[in-house]
Amino acid sequence: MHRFFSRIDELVHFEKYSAHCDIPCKIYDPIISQIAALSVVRLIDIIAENEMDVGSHEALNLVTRCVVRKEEEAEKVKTEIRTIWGDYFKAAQFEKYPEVHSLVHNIMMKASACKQSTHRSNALELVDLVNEFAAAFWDTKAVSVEKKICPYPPNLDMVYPVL
Amino acid sequence: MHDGDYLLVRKVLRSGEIRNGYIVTVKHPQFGRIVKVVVAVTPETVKLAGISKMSTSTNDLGDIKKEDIDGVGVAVIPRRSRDDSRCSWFRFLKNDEIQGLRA
Repeated sequence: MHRFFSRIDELVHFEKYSAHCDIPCKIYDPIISQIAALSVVRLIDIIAENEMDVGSHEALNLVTRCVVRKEEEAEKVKTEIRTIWGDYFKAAQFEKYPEVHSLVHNIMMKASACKQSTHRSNALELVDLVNEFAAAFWDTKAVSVEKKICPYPPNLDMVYPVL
Repeated sequence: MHDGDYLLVRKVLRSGEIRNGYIVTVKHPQFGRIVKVVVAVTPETVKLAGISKMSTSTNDLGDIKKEDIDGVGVAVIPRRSRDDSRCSWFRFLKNDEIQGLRA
């Protein structure tokens, strides 16, 4: 019977309805991507702050660790933002923020740029873009936001919800 | 119900016919097209819940206008039947069965 309906589905494309979301209890929060973006800045700073003998094992170890971690944190930004954009944002939110598609695309591009280099400017722009996304996200939930300097290095302006 | 199951629905002709325990398909303003169970009915709106305990809560789903309800589930055509002896190639939905699934 299911196979029979599958064949019809292939021809007429039944409407798809979801019984559940990917994350139980609708837990979406851009703070994970914000912290990951901050981590990218911090890791670039650590590399710059530790001017060591480039040939030493210590230097190699430190730079390797920072670069690997930077790669992971930049990828985390991309994954988290894509999840919120793909799973949380729906017609009503897109209507309110039609520019969110280009914003998300810019975040993807900037996170990739952060992987490719150790330019601090790229990481700072990534933080700004992720903050912009966070502000849009909280606005869709009618939660106001405020800008505060994060209380740890790299001490940058961050968007936080006022709860 | 599982991913990939087909749900046969009938169109809602009169808003008064919606009852507690009905499985309904809804065009939700935030969550899009969803399948849920009716748990409370007022003259204008209904409240919904998921079959799974992990589902988005009734409060988060909010009050749903009756006109946003697309259809009422009549039967399920399961994708797989070998794992569940109760599953057959065609299963009519009954209110007591739905309550059992939610327990």
